[in-house]
Amino acid sequence: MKRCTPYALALCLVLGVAPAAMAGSVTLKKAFIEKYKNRATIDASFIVDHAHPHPNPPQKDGDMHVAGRAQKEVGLPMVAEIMNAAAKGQGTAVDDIHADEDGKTVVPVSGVWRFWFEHPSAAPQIQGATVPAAKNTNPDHCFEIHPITKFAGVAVLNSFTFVPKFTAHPAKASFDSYEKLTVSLKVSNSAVTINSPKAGFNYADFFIEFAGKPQPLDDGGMVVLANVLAEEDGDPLVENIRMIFVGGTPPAAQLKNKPPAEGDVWHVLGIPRVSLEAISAWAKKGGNISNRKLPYEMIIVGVK
Amino acid sequence: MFGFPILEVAIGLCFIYLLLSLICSAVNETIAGLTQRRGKLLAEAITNLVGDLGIKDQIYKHPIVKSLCQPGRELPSYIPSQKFALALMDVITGDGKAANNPDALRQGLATRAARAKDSQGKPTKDHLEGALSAVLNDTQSHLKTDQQKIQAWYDEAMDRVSGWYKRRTSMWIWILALVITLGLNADTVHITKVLWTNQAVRNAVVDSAKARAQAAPPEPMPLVEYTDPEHPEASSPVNVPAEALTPDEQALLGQLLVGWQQDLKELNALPKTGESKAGNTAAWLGLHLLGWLLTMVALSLGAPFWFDLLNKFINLRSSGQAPAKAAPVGEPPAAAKGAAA
Repeated sequence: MKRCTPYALALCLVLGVAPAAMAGSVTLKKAFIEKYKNRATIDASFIVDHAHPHPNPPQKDGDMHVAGRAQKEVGLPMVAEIMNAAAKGQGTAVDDIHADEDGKTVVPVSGVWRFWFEHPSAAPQIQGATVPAAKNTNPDHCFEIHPITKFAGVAVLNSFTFVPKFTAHPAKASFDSYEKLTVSLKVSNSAVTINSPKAGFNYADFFIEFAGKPQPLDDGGMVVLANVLAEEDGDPLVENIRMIFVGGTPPAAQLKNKPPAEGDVWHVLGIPRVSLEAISAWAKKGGNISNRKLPYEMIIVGVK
Repeated sequence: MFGFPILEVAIGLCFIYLLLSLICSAVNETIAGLTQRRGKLLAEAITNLVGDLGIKDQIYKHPIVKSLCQPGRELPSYIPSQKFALALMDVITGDGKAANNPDALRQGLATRAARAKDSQGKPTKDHLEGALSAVLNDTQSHLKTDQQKIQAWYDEAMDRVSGWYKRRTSMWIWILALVITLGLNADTVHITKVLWTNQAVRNAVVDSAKARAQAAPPEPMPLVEYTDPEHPEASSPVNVPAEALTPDEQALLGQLLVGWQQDLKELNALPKTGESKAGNTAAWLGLHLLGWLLTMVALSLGAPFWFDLLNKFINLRSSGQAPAKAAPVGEPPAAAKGAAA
C-alpha cells in the first residue's frame, strides 16, 4: 500500500487536482491602464452576442448577464451586466438588450469597468487581439462592464442599490478571499501582462469606516479610502481600500449630500475589481513582479 | 526543508512538469516561428475569403499590409481588419482611384464580374464579386460605410481562423508532448519513485521549485508590445518570445530523468530466463507506458497550469508565507492608495 502512495499521488496530480488550479493571464495596454486607472466607468461601442432571457432572480443576485464585444474600446472577451435588473426601472434597458441581441448591432454602453479574474481563460487574453463572438452568455472573461449605468441611451443609475432578497457574501469571507489573491506582472514598454488565480466573491456586504476625504475621479465619480469592517462597531478587517463611487448613482449622491467625516461608518454593498491605479504604479516602477498581493478596490453599488 | 514527503513529491512533480512544459512551449513557438505557422494560416484564410490567389497576393504586396511583416519574414502573422479592408478596396478600385470611393469600388467589382471566366474560357461567377456584393449591399446591417462592412466580414472570418489555429496548436502540443516525453524518457512513475526515495534529490528539486515560483510566471504570460502605444484604444498586439530554463534547472532535469541508456541497461539486467523474463519485461513496459502517458497528459496542460499549481503547493506548505504579507509597506500599491487620500 505504502509503495503505491507516490504513484497514486502522481495520478491524482495529473488527472484530478490540476484542473482546479485555474489562473488567467491578461495583457492590457499601458495607455488603457493610464486612461482608466482614475475613472469609475468606461463608454464602449458594444455588440450583444448573447443575453440571458431573463434577469437572474433577486435571490441569486438579480443581474442581467450580457455577453458581447467592444473591440475598439476594450478589445478583450467581456460581459456587461445590469444589476437589480428585475426591479422596476430597468425593464426598458433589458428589453433593449434583447432587441439588439443579434451579434451585429453596435450599441453605446456605459458602466463601471471591472477587471477581475472571475472567469479566467486557460489561454492568455491579449487586449486588441480580435475578440471572437461569444458562444454563450458567460464566455471566459476577465473584463466586465458591471454594473451598467446606461444601455443604448437608457440610464439605469438607480439600479445601484442593495438587491432585495439577495444575501451578498459576508464581509469576512469576502475580504479574506481578496487578501489571499496574488498577482504577477510582466511589463513591456507598451503593455502589462497580469497573471492571477481565479477570484470570486462578486457582491460583498460590509461596513466602511471612512479613512480619508472623497476625491474626484476623472469621469465624475469619487474615490475615498476606507477601512473595511464586518460589523458596524467591529475591528477593521482590512485598511485603506479605495472605495469607488460612480457619478450619478444613489451611493454617489449620498456621498455628495451627506459628506462623511473620517471615522464615519456606512453599510454598503460592493463589487471588487483590480486596482489599475496600483498596477500603473507597479508598471511605472518597471520590471517583472511575481506573486504579490493582488491590489484591489471596491465599487460601491449600494448604501443602506 | 519542508518535512512532508508527499507534499514535497507533489511540488517536485509540478516543478518537473513545469520545466518540461516550458520546453514544449519553447519548441512549439520556435517551430511556429520558423514555419511561419500563423502567417501561413492567415494567408490560407485570406485566400479562402477572397477566393482568388491573385487578389490575395496583391493584398499582401500592398504597402499597407507589407509594412506589417517582421524583418526577414514574408508573411505577417496578423492583419488588422482596418488595414485589410483598405488594402482590398484599393486593389479592387485600381490605380488612381480613392480606395474608399463607393462608385469606384462597385465599378471595380463589376469589371471583375465581367472578366470572370472558368478554366474553359466560359463566363462564370466571380467569387470575390459575389461575396463582396452581398456584404456591401447588406441593408440590414447597422454598418454604414463599405469599409466597415468589409472589416466586419473579415473579422467574422478571422474568428474562425482563431479556432483553426487553436486546434492546430493543440495538435502540435500533443505531438511535442509525445516527442519530448519519449525523447527525454520522462517517465512520471520513475520521477515519482526517485523523488519519493531520494531525499537529497527531493530537497534540491524543492529548492529549485521555490526559486522558480519566485520568478515571473512562464509563457503564456506573454510579453507584448503595441504598434501605437500612446493610444488607449485597443490596437494590434505583437508578442515577444518568452524565456527558457536556467542552467540549474537543466542540470536538475538531467538528474531526474533516467535517460534511455541507463533504462535499457536496467532492462537488460532483468532475469533472462523462462516466464519470469516475459513477466519482468511486461511489467517494465507497462510501468513505462503508464509513466509516459501521465507525463504526456501533464505536458498538454501547459506551463501556466503547472506554475500556478506549484505556487499553490508551495504556499500551502509554507504557512508563514501568506500572500498578503508579500507586498511590503510603502510599495506602489500603498502609494497608489495614498494618492487618493
